[in-house]
Amino acid sequence: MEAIKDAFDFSDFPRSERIGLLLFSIFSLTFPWFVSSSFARAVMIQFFLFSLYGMGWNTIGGYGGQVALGKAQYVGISAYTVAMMMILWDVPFWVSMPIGVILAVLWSFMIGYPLFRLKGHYFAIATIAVSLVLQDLFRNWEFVGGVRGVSLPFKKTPNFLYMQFRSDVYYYYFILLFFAAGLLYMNWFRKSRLGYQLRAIKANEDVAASLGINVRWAKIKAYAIASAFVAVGGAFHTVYHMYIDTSSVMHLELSILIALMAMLGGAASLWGPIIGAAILVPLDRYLGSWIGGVKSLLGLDLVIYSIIIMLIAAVEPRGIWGLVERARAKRR
Amino acid sequence: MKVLEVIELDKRFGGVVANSKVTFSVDEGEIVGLIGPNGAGKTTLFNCIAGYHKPDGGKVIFMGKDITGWPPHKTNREGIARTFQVIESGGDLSVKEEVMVGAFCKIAQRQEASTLAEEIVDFMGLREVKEMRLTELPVAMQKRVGLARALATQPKLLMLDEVAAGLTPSEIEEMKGLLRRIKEQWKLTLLIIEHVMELVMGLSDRVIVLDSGVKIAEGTPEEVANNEEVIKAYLGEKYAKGGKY
Repeated sequence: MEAIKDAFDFSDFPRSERIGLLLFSIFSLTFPWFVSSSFARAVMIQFFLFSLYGMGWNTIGGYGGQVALGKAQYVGISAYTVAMMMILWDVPFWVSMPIGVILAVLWSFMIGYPLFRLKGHYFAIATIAVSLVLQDLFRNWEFVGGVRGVSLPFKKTPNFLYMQFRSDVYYYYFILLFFAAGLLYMNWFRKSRLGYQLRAIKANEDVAASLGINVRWAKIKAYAIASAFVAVGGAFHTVYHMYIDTSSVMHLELSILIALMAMLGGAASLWGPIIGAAILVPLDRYLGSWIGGVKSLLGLDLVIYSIIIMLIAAVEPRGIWGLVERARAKRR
Repeated sequence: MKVLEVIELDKRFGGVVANSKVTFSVDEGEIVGLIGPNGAGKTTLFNCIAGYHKPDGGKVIFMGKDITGWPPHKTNREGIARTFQVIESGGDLSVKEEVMVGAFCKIAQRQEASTLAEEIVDFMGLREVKEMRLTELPVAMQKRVGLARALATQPKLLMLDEVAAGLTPSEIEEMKGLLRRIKEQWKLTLLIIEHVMELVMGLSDRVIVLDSGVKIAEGTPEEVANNEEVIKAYLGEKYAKGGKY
């Protein structure tokens, strides 16, 4: 009961932020009514999806301070689970999605257990390495389509069970639902025992241990939660795009983008990943439509990401939200 | 009832002997001081008891239970809390939140943990600064926060590592009173490492002296202060009684 109350309780935020949240909710709910451009809707769907990814990363990366750069592997595991189960056995989305999430979480335990013996940069590098190995395995695995990827079979009529709709409005509201659930969960999480423990771990692991915190286990738990978040997103990605391959759901670039969203917006803050996604997703999309396929050839997006990382490191490690809080502290 | 028993504890770092056959015990409700020159192995001994180091030999018994080599979070759950010489925290936690983390050790519910944290914050006189960060506070306040969060884990034995270092004389007096009140209020047993003699001699029921990793004396503050071995360890051979000046 207390958990549910905490999830819906935003009262410890300043008034301006609560009004902001209210306006944002109204905007999100009514957006498809006054914008019918499918491009704009696609950008919004992508925005919610990446906010969800970023919120997940924020548990381990933001609150726990463990820079995980392999989140794409969990997106991929659940995306492929949903796709393959639908292709092979015609399993509905609402059954295969939980299975995909469970598989991703199990995999995260198997990876987290050895990897959390490492600290700092070594941990970050190890997460990249594991993620790359898994991507290569999938790329060479003919059963899941190899480099060609897999396409989902189309149903004749729109179908809620398989999440196949003619209009993107439905996808919009479903991802909004996942997003809202994620936001409420995070609002609870930041006030939870594990939330506090992770922040203590980020501050100092020896002190954290002296306060009865099993440091490694707390990290593994947070890593699993982060994996569950991105796995839900991965499952949605599959039914939304109807096609997946390793470069769309398991690529290193996706891992980096997920971490970057949260870091740019503000790690360890509730709004951070949302702000980050609100900036990076449209940027990425408009950049893509502006210079077309040359974008990835030029590597322009990577140049921009690198500049952002350097700016965060140099100016304000807590990201945009850190700047806001700094300005606020000055005014006081 | 013996709260803590340390039996023939050995700890080496490579060729350096940090603790050698250290044996002592702490009774329930006692305040025991642990003194010795720099490098005597006091903090190492703490670390071996609390689980930050694995001893190379010997035993640590807590409340009749063998906890030798247990990791720190387990010894804490069992009832041993400690503070650190240098209170460091690079995090974004406020004072109240630091204490909350401690309270979450034995309490899962946020509301209950918050109530306990508030109680301890008040008791330690930290109400005014509870929304501030550790790094924004003066040393004396930081030490209190360190004490507060250790206390919030609801320990039976509280081990303090140089809690008075860096404090002014009047702050030391305050700290002395505070430690007495903490001990009474929460029925604790205290083990204190300290260089500040006003504090350790004024507070302890019993004092243990370490030198070069070996226990050289044990007794009441007066006995220890007049012990030749101890004077030798602290001031050097020539200041000991009977020595030539």
